[in-house]
Amino acid sequence: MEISIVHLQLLAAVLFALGLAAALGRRNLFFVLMGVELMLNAANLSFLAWSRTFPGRSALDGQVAPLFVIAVAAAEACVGLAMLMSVFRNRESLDTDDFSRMKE
Amino acid sequence: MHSPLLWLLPVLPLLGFLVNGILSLSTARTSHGPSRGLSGFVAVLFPALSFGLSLWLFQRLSHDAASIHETNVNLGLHLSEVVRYVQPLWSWFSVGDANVGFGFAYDALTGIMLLFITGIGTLIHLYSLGYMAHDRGHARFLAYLSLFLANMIVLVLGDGPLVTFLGWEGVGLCSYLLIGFWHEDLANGAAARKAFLVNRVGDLGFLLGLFFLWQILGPTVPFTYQGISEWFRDPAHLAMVGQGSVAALLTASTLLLFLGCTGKSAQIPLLTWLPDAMAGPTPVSALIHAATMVTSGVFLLGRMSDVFVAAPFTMHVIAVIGAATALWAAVTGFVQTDIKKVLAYSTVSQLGYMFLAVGVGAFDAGLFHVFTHAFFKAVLFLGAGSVIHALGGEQDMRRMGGLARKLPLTFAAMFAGWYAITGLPGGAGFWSKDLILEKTWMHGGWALYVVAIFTAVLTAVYMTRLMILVFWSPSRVDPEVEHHVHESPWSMALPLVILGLGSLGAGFAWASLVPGVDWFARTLAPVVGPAQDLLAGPEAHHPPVALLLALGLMAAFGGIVLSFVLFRSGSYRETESGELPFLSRFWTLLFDHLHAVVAVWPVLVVSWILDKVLNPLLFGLVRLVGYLVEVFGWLFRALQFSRLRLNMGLSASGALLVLLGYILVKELLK
Repeated sequence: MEISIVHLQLLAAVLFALGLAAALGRRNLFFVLMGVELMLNAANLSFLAWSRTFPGRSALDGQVAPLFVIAVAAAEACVGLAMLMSVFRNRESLDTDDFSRMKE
Repeated sequence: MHSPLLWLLPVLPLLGFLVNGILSLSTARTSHGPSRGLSGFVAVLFPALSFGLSLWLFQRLSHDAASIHETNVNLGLHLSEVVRYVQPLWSWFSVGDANVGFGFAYDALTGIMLLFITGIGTLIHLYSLGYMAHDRGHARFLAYLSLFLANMIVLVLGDGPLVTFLGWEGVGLCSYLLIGFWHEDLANGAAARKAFLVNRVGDLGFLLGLFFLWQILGPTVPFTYQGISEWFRDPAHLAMVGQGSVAALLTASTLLLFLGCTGKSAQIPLLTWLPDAMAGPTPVSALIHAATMVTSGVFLLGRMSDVFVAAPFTMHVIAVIGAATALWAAVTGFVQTDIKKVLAYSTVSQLGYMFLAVGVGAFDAGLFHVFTHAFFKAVLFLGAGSVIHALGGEQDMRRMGGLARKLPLTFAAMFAGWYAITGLPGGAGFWSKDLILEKTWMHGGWALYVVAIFTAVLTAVYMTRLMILVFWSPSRVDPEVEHHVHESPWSMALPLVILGLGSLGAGFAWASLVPGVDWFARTLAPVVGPAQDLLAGPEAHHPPVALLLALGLMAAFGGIVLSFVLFRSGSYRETESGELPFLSRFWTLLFDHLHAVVAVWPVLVVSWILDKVLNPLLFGLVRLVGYLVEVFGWLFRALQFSRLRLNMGLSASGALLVLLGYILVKELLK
């Protein structure tokens, strides 16, 4: 069986759904962050898959966009983890439901 | 002619500054401070080397000038050619079509200035060793003094107005640093600030004047003194700047340049800072605020004499301002009780003489007075410093007296200075001041002459008053202090002796009554001669020399006798305690009051308006932005849930909804 664009998009959709589920379902901030990363990479995969369907140079657009996403994701992971560390030091907890003070 | 050695002149004192600065900084945290011997040795060595170099250069210059003169005579020419050593160093900056180089030029005027700047500078460095020996910051003091010397040398050695401006600003900075040297006392800091700020006004004038001059010359003329002089010496150009809008531009330019000179040289209207500058240590007053820096205004006028003679209106203004300043300051010196204040006002008054001379077109006479004044005013200040040192810091002349016997050397030196400044026969002031009076008579008209001769009388009166109060009257010194009165150490005595001899002998550089003794005038002739000839024209009539001489001597003797009559009797005791009488105080602070009305109060009013009206308005605007953010935040906060996961879920659902809606609409429209 040949791997077609549909298969790749389906895989990306599944990965995205898993990421969303992790971000929504887990209460540990650490896993929420991992879910977000997963969603970003699902989007990357989708980009790459679509890029194969375009002819010539315009295929490059789909391959360059993931590079930017990876860079942003790396920065996000870096800052996110650092914030997470300091949140844990201050609050002794990583439970997202504990953090509701922004509204007050 | 090219000379590769000029750069050494300012760099040597700069080295002294660096060494002493590093010494001072590196020992800042130790308890005993830097080694006195080392810092003192360095401080005297480098200026002395600079002095030696300028002596050698001057000797070479005289030699070259003589040989050129001989050649010209042999060829039957009557030219006074400028001998000039130049050393262009690098291109400073170029903006648009303006290229300004950085370089040094050495001619007769620079040579004479350098001789007494480095010579007296070295002596005052030496004097400072003794004067500041007990001061913890003496290395810092010597470092500033050397930095001043380096800047002053740049000022006179620059090959163009912009290099001079660099030194001009540099000496202003050093003046500021040294006036406020004893910065523990807030009053000294205020005096330093005042000197700096008042000078800024003048410096702005200088800079604007240069811009205007640039406008007249255009980019093709090299913006060096040589280029400017040659341009203005061309009769075609002189005719061009004599009329129309160019003449107005030139008048504005020269007036602004003169404003710069009034700032640096403490003339009306920017003279209030100099008496306050006496807050600095006495060697500073002698070197910077009497002998060298304050005369740089006269130097600049001499340097640009070719420009100034092309603007007759400016020349009149200079003469009138000079005479007015001389008179005002002489009257003020008459009512002071602080020994250094008397000398400060005397300096202002003598500077007025110099400007008067320049204003009537006698540049060489003005510069000659700069030369002689450097000697006798330096010795007067150093003598005053010696007196203050001996009395443990006492500056009030009402608590002095009878010191002639206790401080014989100081007395002898100050007597020489007094002899010179009052214009008694043979002293330095006799020659230079009489020359100015004579030139004023010839070219300035009788009104200026009367002011000048009256000022000469007043000069004799207040200087004799100083001598009576300090040396000749019965002692009024506090017995406690009198016990400790002592003559100064050799490092202070030696400069006093040399400068004392100088103030008796310096006048013989141009003893105008003795035929043939006109070394000073002959040396300067190539530099300022063309400008003077242009203004004076052919010598139509000879002045009544004998009459003027008699009048000058009568002024001096009359002033001295008057002073003895007034002050010998002891009437000065009436003002022994308390402040100056109201009228004296008002006269002394006349220009401070004027400054207050013209500059200080308007600034205060504007700042009050800014503080009370504009500031609340701006603050209101800033706060408004803050409030807006708060209000909107409050509004949108209601839309948020305090659950992170719920928020995220809703966002995701929202995105999904948008997507579904998009598909639905697309399907329906198909």
